[in-house]
Amino acid sequence: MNGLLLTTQQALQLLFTGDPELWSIVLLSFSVSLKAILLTTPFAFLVSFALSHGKFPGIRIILAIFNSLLSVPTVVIGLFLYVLLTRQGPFGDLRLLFTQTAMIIGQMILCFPTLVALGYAAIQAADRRVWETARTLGAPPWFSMLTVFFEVRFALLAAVLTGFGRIISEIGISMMIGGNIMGYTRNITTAIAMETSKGEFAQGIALGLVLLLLSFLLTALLSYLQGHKEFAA
Amino acid sequence: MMSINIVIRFDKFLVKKYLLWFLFCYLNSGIIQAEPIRLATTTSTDNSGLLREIIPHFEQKTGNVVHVLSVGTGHALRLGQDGNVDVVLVHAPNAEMHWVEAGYGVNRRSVMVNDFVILGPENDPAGIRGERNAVKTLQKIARGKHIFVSRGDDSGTHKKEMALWKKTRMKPSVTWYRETGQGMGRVLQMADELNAYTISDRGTWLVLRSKLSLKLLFEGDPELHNPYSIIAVNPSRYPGINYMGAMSLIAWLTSVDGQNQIRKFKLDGQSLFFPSAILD
Amino acid sequence: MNEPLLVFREIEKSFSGSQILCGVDLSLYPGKCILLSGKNGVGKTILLKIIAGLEIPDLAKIEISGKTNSWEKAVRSVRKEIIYLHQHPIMFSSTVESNVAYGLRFASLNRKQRRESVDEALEWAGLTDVAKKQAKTLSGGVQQRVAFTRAWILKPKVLLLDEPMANMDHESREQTYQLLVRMKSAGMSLVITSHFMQYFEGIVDQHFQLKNGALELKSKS
Repeated sequence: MNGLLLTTQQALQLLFTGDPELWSIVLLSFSVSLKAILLTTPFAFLVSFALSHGKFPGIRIILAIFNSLLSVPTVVIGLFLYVLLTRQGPFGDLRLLFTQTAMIIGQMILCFPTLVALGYAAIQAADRRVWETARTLGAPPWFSMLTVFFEVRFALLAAVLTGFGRIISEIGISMMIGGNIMGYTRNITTAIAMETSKGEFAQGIALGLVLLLLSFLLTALLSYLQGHKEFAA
Repeated sequence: MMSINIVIRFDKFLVKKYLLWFLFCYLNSGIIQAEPIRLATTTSTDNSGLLREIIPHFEQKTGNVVHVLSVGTGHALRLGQDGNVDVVLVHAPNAEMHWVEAGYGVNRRSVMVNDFVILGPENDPAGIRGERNAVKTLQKIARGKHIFVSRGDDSGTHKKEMALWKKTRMKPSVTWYRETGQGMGRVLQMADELNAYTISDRGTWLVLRSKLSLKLLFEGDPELHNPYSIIAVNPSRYPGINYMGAMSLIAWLTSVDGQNQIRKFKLDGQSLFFPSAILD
Repeated sequence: MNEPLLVFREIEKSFSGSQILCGVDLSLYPGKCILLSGKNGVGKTILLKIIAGLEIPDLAKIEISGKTNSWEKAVRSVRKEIIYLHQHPIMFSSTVESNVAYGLRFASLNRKQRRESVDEALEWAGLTDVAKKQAKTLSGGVQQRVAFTRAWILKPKVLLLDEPMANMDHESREQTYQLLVRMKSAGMSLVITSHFMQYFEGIVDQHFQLKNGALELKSKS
């Protein structure tokens, strides 16, 4: 017990004295995950909208596929991407392996089904009259779509937060195709894995605390949004 | 009159355009930066902190950037074989020789040497303290069926361990032998928890010994010799590989400067690696 | 004497197996008001939505100034002149002003002209007091007026109103009636669906009943 207290103390010290290595790891996590979510969201919501308003065959099947992809283990995606990006692989020439770009791509793939599925739910719940009113008042389809998005913005934001939560805490992808390179592709989760495998718990705990705090904030934000949704409808 | 909500809707559209541009720039930015040298090494090497200490010297001197990937020995060699790194630094002589013979690597150079040690509980129930050689210590542990924790992950350490077991002509049994598939640090912790015996590289031991109740019980046998080599990935297999960078790193590590840096590196007051590239 | 603005011909639509509209013809005249009655669920709303371009018919033709075109080809240009109003209009999550101004974005007006247009429209409907209020928070009657104004500001040639007086109190009905009169005199062609013919006495020029997929002329003034 004493050891645990001491380690936690050390962890907090590392955090608050602004240990540069620690904070560069935290920054990297955010940088990669923010880019991934920002790049994926617009396209994912477009797909959600198409699935919701479209009248082509196979919508149900596509939705079922997305829903089943919601809980794919990240190591599976990581492994799959590794095979694609390895030098002998189909995309080896792009030399993306062990770069931040690869991590971003991997996380984009990870959050895409979540964003599509939750976006779809949000848009389905939207009043059809919003779309019809927008269209009849002369708005072109793309703007009418944005209008619908605006009307369900809280639900969409919740989808984004959920997606973000999933990618910032993943390790399977970051480890496999990021490579945990110090200062370059080492993020919170890969650092925790590495530190614990070295037996260095203080660093691991410090980083774990950051992640815990973040997930707490996300959850709080999500519940705030849920409440707001009821009144905004 | 245009209320904020209308502006937000517009922004979303602009944001999409901006981001596409961003993605384009991002994916192309690799071309503008200097090409890094990718070094795959083992976790025990990296965990000792040696590379963290001496690589910056190389980087400053030559203006190169080195990306260090620390994985298991098998994985490191695999990365080299697949052309995903430019150079490997490992400590598994047999595997290395086969690797070079198979044509995956070129210019294998000896870099440094350290050793493995055998650790165990303070009271040493198997009585290996003061034993004559490493093989005998393992035989004693096996006979007494004392718990032994192994890497079990095909790493350099694990390969050495397996070679020693072969020499004992005894087969470890699952009742007391724990194959963990974990890194050295974790294995030491587990051995600590279980009051068990284990074999470790000296570096990881020095880093962690203050946190463990395990004690160093046996060392010094030439069998526990642990030589490190650096090998460049064969450039004819992958034309795009940073062969010049790899050779530059090998040159420095085996140069007088590099070898001195290795010699100067100390852990917990002890010299850990002994340079072996230049015979003097 | 009167040239029809638009003529819809041979509109056919089936829904989940049953034929709702079988060959409906409808001519729309400027400044005239058509009343559509019929049982609940008979297809009045679908007919209006097809005319507005919000629903796709199985078959239809549109005649503009004597020239006939298939629905697919003509609907795009026709759509711009027709606005459909829901029975319970939905307000966007913004101010009354913003709601009213929504469609203006796509008209080629500069900022000043837009501002003037909006102010004029708000005054026309008597909404100046609530201009800055969140539209969703206002009463049903006021929302109805906002919906009208939203449409009126775009000066459409045709206005389709789905059960406009349902669930209204007497005062709101009065106000709505007045708005409809003004719209008619401004030259708009109105099509109204309703069960309550008595509310629209004085403005209805033609009354059709939708029955068994076809329009029956009930009266003409």
